[in-house]
Formats: sequence, C-alpha cells, structure tokens
Amino acid sequence: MPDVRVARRYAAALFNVVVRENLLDTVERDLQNIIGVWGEHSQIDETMAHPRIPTPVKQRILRQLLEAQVSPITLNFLLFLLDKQRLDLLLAIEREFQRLSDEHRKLVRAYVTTAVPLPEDQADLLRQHINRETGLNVVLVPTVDPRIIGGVIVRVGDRLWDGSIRGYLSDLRQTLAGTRY
Amino acid sequence: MAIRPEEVSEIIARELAGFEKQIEGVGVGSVLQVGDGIARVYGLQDVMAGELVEFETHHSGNITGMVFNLEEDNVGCIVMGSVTHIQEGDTVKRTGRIIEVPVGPALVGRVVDALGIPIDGKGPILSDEYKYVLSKAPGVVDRQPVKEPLQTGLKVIDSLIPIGRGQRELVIGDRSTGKTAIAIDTIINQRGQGVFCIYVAIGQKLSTVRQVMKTLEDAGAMEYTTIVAATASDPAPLQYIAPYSGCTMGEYFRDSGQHALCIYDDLSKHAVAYRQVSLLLRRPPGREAYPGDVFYLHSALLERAAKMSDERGAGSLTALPFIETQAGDISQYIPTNVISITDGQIFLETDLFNAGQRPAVSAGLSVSRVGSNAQTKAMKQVAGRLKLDLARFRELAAFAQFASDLDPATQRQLARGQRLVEVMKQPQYSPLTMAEQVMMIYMATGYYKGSQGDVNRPSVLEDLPLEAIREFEQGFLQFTRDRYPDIAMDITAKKALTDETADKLQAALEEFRGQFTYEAD
Ligand SMILES: Nc1ncnc2c1ncn2[C@@H]1O[C@H](COP(=O)(O)OP(=O)(O)OP(=O)(O)O)[C@@H](O)[C@H]1O
Ligand SMILES: [Mg+2]
Repeated sequence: MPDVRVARRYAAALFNVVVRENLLDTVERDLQNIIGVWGEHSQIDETMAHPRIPTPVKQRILRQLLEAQVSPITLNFLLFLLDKQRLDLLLAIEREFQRLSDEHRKLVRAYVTTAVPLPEDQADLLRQHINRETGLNVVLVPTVDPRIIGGVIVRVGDRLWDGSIRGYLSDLRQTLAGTRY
Repeated sequence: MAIRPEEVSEIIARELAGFEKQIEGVGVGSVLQVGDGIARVYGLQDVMAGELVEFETHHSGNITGMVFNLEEDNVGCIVMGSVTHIQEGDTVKRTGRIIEVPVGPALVGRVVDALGIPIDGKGPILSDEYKYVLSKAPGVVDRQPVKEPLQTGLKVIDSLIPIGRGQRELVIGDRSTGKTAIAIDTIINQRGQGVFCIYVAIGQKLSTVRQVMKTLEDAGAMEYTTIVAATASDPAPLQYIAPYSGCTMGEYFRDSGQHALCIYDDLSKHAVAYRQVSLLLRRPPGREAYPGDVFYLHSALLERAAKMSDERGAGSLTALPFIETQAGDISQYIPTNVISITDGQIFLETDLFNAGQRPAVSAGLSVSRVGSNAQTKAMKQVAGRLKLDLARFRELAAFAQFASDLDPATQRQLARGQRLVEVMKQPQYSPLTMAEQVMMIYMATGYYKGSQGDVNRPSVLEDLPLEAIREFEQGFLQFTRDRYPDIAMDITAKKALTDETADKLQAALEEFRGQFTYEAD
C-alpha cells in the first residue's frame, strides 16, 4: 500500500534540493513525463517490481530508458528510490511533489468535469471566479465525462462543488424516495 | 393500499417545488488503498469520526462508508458495500451525517440489512424517521428496575431463570446446542404480548437466516418482528454495524412507551467482524487479537437495553445476546466480557443436548440476576421448590447408576428428580403460556405455596415410567384445554394460583391420571 507518510518525506527532500538548485520546472516536468510513460507502458512497472530481476539490471534499464530524457537529478532520485525499494511510491511522491510545487508557486489546481468540452470563455469565467475565491493563480485541469449529463463539477483541493445534472438527479431521487444510502 | 393518483402528483409536485438545488462545497478526498472491506482515504479535511462518506465509483454508483480511524495523514473508512467496485483514486465525499437507520412501524414484518435497506423484495420502507445507530444508552434517572416478565414460553427458562422486560440476559453455549431455537420460540411466544421483536442475525449463513424467516412467517410471528441480517457473505463492516441497527429499531419502541425484544445471534461473530475491521485498520491487537475496546463494543450495545421510568413512558427494550463458546469454555475473552455486562446467563450444554435434554439449559450454571422481580406470583408459587429439587437431584445423579443399592428414600428422590428433569424438556415451536407452565410444574412437583403456607402433595407422575411422561403431559394439556379451561383462565386472570384453583388442578390431574393408559413395553 502506498505509504503516504513515507512518500511525503521523499517528496519534501527532493523538493528542497530542487528549489535550491533552481530546477523546479525541469524536475516537475520530468516527473510528469515519467508518470505518463509509466502509465502507458505497464512493462516498466512490472519489471521494476519483479522480485527475480536483480537490482543492477533494473538500474541499467532505468539508465537506458531515462538518461537521455530527464535531468541527472531526476534520474539520480529514481535510482535512489530503486536502491531503497521505494519505486512503488513514485506516483504518491509525484502527487506530493506537485502539491509542494503548487504551494510554492501560489497556484491552485481546479479539476473541472463537464459532459462536453468546456468552451474557452466559460473556462475563463470559472478561472476568474476561483481566483477571486482563493486568491491564488488557477490552473484548470479539465476532464470530459458524458455520464454527468450536463452542468459542471469542480474540485479544488479537498472541496468539491457538484453542479452536475447527475448530482441533481441523484439528490432528487434521494429526496423523493426518502432513502439515505 | 389505496392511493389516489391526484394525491401522488400533488405530493410529487410539492416535493419538487421545495427542491431547489443549492450547490454547496463538500469535503472530498481520494482513495489511497482499498480492500477487505476497508479503504484508506487521503484528504477529507475536518471529517468527523463516525461520519458517513460516499465513495463515487465509476460503474456502480455511490457506495456508503463510515469513518472509523482518523490518522495523521489519512482516514480509515469501513465500506458498507462491495469494495471491489472502488478503485484507487476514486473520489470520496463527506456527507456530514452520522450513520442512521429507518425506525418505526414501517419496519415491522420486514427483513432488512444492517443499514435498514429492505432485502425481502417487499418494496421500499416508508418511514420518515431515521435514528442514529451509535446512540447512547439512557441514563440512570431515565430507568427503573425491571418489573414485567418477558415470557419465553419455555418452562425451564420462565420457571428457573425468569427474564424481565428491559433485562439483558445472555444465552451462551457451544455450536448447535439450540441457541437459535430459543430465539425462535421466544419470538413466537410474544404473539399478542405487545412486544415487538428484532432478530439480528450476524455472520450466519444466508440459508439459516432464510430458514428462521420462514419459521417465523409460518408461525405468524413476522407480524410483529423485524429481521436485521448481516450474513457471513456480507462485508465485516456491515456485520459490525448490524446489532446497533437492530438496537436502534428496538429503541424506537422503548422510547414510545412500548416494548421490544432484541436478539443478537450472535455476538461472538460480531466481535470477530470487529476484530477483522480493527486489525485491517491497524488498531493495536490485544488479548486474542481483539482490539482494546472490544469490551466497550458490547457494553455500549447492551446498555441500551432498559426499562424506562414512568416519566419516560415506561417502555422497555430487552436484550438477548447470544455467545457461542468453544468446548463449553466460558473463560475466553468475549464470553467473560459479555457475562460481566449482562444481568445473567442461560447456559446451554452440549452433553445435555446430546442426552436429549432439550432445551439444553444447565439449571446449575444459569442465573437471572434481576428477572425474579418480574416473575408472576403464580410462577413463584410453584417454582420455589423446583430449583432446590433440581439442585439436590444433580448432586444425587452421580449415584444414580447404583440405584439398586440405595436406600428407598434416596431412590424416591432420584426418581422424583428424573421426573422433574423430564418435564423441563420441551419440543420446539410449542411455547406454553404462563398458566400452562404453572400447571405443568405443579404436575411435576405437587408443590405450591398456598395461602396457608407450603402445600406438598405426591406428584401424579410418581408411579409413571419416565418414557410415559411426555405423553402424559401432552395428554393432560389437551385434557384441561377441553374440559377445564377455567383453571388456566383463572391463573392467567389472577396471575396467582389460589388454593381453590390448585385444588381443581389437583382434581383434574387425578381424574386424568385415572384414565391415562400407556403402553408398557
Ligand atoms: N427443544 C428442542 N427440541 C428438539 N430439537 C431441538 C430443540 N432445540 C433445538 N433443536 C434442534 O437442534 C438443532 C440445533 O439447534 P439450533 O440451530 O437452534 O442451535 P444453535 O446453537 O443455534 O446452533 P448454531 O451453532 O448452528 O447456531 C436444530 O436442528 C434444532 O431443530
Ligand atoms: Mg444458531
């Protein structure tokens, strides 16, 4: 299970180094790319988690895969995780790193779900609105999910505003049926 | 049910008019890890312990969970549904509500799960009233000592280990010693007594629960009974919640001046479910790997049984918790805990059960600490000597195998004891009224406490062979029902055995004895 506490410590350590070295943008992008590639190619994960493959081999693979793609500091960090057998925490670390870096940049991510792609002018309105509420720079992360039928769901940090038709209907159902669960 | 169509549309229109969606921000988190009926959630700031949360799954709608552990960086939730539909990263929403179930008359006759959702296919439960499941027990000032009997209809219990309304009486025994049978008979016997019954099945096989339901239905007992089922195939969290849900449903009656009986079958499996949940959420294990608060788990539940004060409406909630022991060992952790919380225990023994002594109640090891206050006078009048005689018989029974070498007085006592024990037997599904029980016990002992003091007459069973006693008892019951119904009626009405009625009873017994023939083989 991803141990958040441990992931936090790794992320914080990496973050401190990166900020000191002025490499925040680079490493942030590196991590995002790695997570992306990792997600697309499940063999990488499988290989790295494989108990029968010796660590030196895994190290070689990592080097060959990433040397040309990412900065040395990112690569070193991954090798370090491998050495500590913490590569499985990478996703949690990336998330935590992202959070720290957002905080550093006074930036807030708003996850926006709509049934159809959000037109740019409406996205702008939403951005302005959230900016007014939070006083932070807003990055919209859009998702399109037709199952919400219409309306919009916005999630910022630990709070969620559900203005979707699906949410509306399910509330209505609960009210009419008088059920709680 | 008759509903006018215009009424329906009116109600819907009214509800819809008042239904204006306000978009409020809700606290959310995301699933970090899920499995074995629990989920760890990241986020959910400010969530309360015990709060309900909703898992938004991709394919199976929302699944309810409950906050169980608040930790430094994550929230441990128990999931009240199948975890297989929940994925890592799924959104979890706060609801601001604490776990609650529907209560009230709409639940009577229904079979529901631990959340009060019907599982009997008889349509939705139409109840406006919901109550917190984990509520607190009434305080001292709201209570009064038990004073009315809760009749089980079983001679051996009602005479020797009487239970009062509002009492907590443990039923404890090994597997397959007739525990559930006692539950069923007790429920059947509440017919027409104004006691609503709630049978909570925890960790049992679905087929067993179905069997219980069918038996109760056939006996017409579902008319005043609710079954709360969290079977072995349900997730452990639901098994953990089920008795509290049942208790909450019973409290509705208690608090509205009525009477309810809650049967928890059984709390051993309940403790196991709680242990599973606790261990998975990494609460530190203690004795027998149960978490440290397992005592509170059961005391909090059983304390909610109460006889309410007159100011509070004088309602009652009686609790019959069941515990399954291993090889009769009552010194294990959970049995000792529950024994210390309850007002007595009915101890069932495998040896007795196998020897055909059913219900297999061990008269020596069973006690009821408060119930005798509630026992009817008539029962007290005849049961007074029963306990003593049975105890004396148990001492002598060891010598029974040398019967031929014993002096006649001892032999007589032995024979008498054997007859008493025989009369304590009772088949399933045939509960007796208080009056009938009084008559049967008098039949066995020939004793009652009359207005002038103890009356001892030779029992009519004395010269009957043991094998014929069951038949005699049945025959005599039928005989009085047909010929002398006034005897039972008088006992029922006066709740006491008058000298006059006792004489009538004696005469009836002698008359029946005179005409009774049995086949001696
Ligand atoms: N008074 C009785 N007379 C005859 N048979 C009985 C009596 N009581 C119980 N039995 C029978 O004994 C068997 C076991 O009874 P029951 O299922 O009630 O026991 P239990 O202790 O609840 O068992 P389990 O451990 O499986 O829950 C059943 O087949 C039941 O019909
Ligand atoms: Mg049973």
